[in-house]
Amino acid sequence: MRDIHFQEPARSMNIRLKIDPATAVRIRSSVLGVFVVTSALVAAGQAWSAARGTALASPGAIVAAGLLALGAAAVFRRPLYAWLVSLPFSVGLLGAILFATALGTVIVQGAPPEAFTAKYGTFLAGAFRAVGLEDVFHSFAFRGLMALLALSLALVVVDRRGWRRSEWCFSLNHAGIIVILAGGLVGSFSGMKGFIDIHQGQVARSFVLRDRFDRPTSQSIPLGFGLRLDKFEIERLPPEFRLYVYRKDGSGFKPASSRGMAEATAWTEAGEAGRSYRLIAAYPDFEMTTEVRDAPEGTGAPCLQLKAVDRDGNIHSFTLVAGEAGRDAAFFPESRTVLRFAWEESAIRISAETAPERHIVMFRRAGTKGAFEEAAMTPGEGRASLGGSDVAVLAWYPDFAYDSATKTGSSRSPEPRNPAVRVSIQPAGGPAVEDYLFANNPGYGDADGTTIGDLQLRYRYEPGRKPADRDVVVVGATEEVLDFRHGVLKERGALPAKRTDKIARGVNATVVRMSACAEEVHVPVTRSRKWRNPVAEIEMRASGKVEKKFLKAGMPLDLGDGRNSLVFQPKPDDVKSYRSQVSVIFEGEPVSKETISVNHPLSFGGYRFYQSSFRREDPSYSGILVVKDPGLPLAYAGFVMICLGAIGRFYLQPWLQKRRQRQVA
Amino acid sequence: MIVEHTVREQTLLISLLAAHSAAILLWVAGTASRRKALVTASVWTFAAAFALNGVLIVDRWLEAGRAPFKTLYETLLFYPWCVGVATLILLALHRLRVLIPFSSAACIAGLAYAMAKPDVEIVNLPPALQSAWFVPHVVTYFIAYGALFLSFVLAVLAIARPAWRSEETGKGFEEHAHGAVMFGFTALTLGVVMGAVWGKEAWGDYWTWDPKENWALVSWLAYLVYLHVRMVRGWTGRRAMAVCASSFAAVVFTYLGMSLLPTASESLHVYQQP
Repeated sequence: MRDIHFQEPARSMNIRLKIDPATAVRIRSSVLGVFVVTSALVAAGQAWSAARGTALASPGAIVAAGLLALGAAAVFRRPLYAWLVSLPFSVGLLGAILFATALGTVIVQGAPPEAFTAKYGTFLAGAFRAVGLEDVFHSFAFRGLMALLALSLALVVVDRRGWRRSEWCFSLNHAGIIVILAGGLVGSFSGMKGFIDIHQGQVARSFVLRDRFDRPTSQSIPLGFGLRLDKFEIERLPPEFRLYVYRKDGSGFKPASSRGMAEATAWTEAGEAGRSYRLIAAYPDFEMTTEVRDAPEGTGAPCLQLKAVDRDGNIHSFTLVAGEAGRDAAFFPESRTVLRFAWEESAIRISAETAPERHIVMFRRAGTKGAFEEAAMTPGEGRASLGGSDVAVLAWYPDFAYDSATKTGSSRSPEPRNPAVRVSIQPAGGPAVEDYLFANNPGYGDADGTTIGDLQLRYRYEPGRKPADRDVVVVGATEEVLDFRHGVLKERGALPAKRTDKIARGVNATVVRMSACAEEVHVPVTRSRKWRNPVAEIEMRASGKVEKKFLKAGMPLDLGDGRNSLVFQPKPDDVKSYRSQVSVIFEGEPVSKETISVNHPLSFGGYRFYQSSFRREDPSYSGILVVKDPGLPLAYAGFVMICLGAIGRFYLQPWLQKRRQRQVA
Repeated sequence: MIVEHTVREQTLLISLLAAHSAAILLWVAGTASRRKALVTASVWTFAAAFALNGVLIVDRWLEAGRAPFKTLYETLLFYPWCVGVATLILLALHRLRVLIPFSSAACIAGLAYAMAKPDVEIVNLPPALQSAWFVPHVVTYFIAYGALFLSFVLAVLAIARPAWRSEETGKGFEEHAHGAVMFGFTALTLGVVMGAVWGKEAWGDYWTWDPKENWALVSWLAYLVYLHVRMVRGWTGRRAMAVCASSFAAVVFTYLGMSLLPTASESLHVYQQP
């Protein structure tokens, strides 16, 4: 009898071979035996890889080795069989697979040889390689263990006559594993895995094969049909802006806390400097506008706040301040009108007079600190003697630009944005020198002016005066509107009593507010509900003092300890779905439209297509994994078998047994 | 006034820790003074803690708008609940009140770990996890983990008190440990199969030799070794229980040890530490 027994004598083992007690196996010796077998498999694997390509690996030699192994097995068939179907063997074999699997997670797998050696050193790396540990799961030895497992399971099922009705759970469990292993085997022989890199509009007719470590190979496999990427889209969740505290941790920053906008309205301590913050408001599409408010006597200025609508329907809000140069007028290009604001009529300076533009050359002796003398000159006309030198203005450039290719200056536009002149200077008794003078940048490099010969020169541009086509002046004190054409007063009317009416004919602006003594206040608003320019308005409290701050999304605000920062930003990982809309193209014709997304692969033509990657910087790109696995139905069948087997073995069978016993009783 | 979810969760966590501590104290007091009422009170406290744990999970589920099993923190809230399920089942079936202090201690450990490593925020579910398999796979696995934890406790008790027999059922710790393994192993099998099918749908392979998968296999094989060892003559009793108890180490490592592995950086399963 064998040295094994079952807990339940009712289901004793059916032993078909008479086994001598001397050959009976115990766990300890069985584990040792499995160890020896595993070592032999490792050695065989290494011998095989060493012999590959040499005469030793000829088909004849392989057949001979196989026959030798079979012969040995035949000679020792009884003890071998007894061992293979024994429980101690199963324990030993499962233990060996367990140990190998664990090793395969502790040692880096499938690394390039240099990286592997760099990680473990020459000695360890060599030792690991000698036993196939650099790639456990694809090694000869591991596959050998799997084969041994399948063999042992098959023998066990046969030995226990698993086809009997009473053994259905046992057989489902044990044969289930065989079926899964068979599925894996089929998959590894006739399955394949590849990748398609594709852009919108392109058609893929083949895929790049990948090796077992998922690395691309140089081999391309034709699909037999085409796959056209019609559209690739990334669906995102609506942005959820939150206030994060980032803490410096080593070299980088890591989020230490995150609060939603509702939560963040309560005071929260943050950082190590005893500061607290709270959210006052969040603006999805932030804009700082100015509002006009009445000011205490003597502090403000007369203000006119206007709202104008341009030809495209955009609303512009602006404020005119009387008596403040540059802020007392606005230009309406559509009606070529200047709208001015004055509090009293006496302050208006509009005349029909014209004055030409002037080019002033300023000069003094080089090296002196005296005042510049001035001379008005006309470009291209005449010469003048300035400080002893003969000076001529050769050309004028309203909007100067230097072309480094031709080494000449030119004007980009007729607008006097960057006025410059080309001058010719001839000192007494010397040769003439040509150079440029710039109104905006006197003597580039030397702020005092350009030095040519013994002169230091500057250039000033005075624009000519020309009355505007139309000036519309709002007089605040009398609430009148004066309409000037080319500097001549043509019409005088009252400011509309109804503030929603236009100020004057042809000027698409209305008065929002007018005040004799007002000040401007900056008011944050949001232009829209879209998160285009998100800004959080927060209050920061430090040692009892509360300060208001505007925190632009993504801009860190230091919390005073040099380690923590407050950041207003959206919650990361907002991608809801990656989707490739594809058309299957067969014989030049699109035959079906499909959508591939994560967790929803497309099955077609024996392949499965998976949404696998995308490129942030290349939104029309989609990476599609292609998998062919003819072993899948077998593997799934095996899965079902072991699930049913486990439930049956542990719950159904005992329950049925109990019921039968009760019936008998 | 909005009651913040984080505040609510903290309150629930602290209440849970208190309830489990109370369950342990009541059990110890009841056992030491041989007062059945105290032990019964301990059982009810444990049940209340289990219910509260359920509230915590439902609350987070509603707040997140998805199943709260994504991060390590979230599973650390779920694991004690699963230990609770397994414990209450064994209490109902076999009146194993001795499990209360051990289960409560495990819950306290899990919840305290959760409190020490809270999530900064409720993260969004990446597309790969948006699958019908997500909830059944994780729930099955954690129920398995809960049952296997109890098998570990019972195996240790079987080694320490091999002669003990239940007054009500006449069964010893070993039989109960085996029962817990049968339940846990069945769930483990279903969990690994669901994971494989899900893996096929999401990533194209039902098995990729990913470290977490490998350790799931190691745990499964460890209990398979136990199930076979137990049938060998001379290996029942303490020896089998020792194998059973040590198999649980593989489960713990599968759950919490993945970030220690050099191969984990490429794994899709490893919980990212915030």
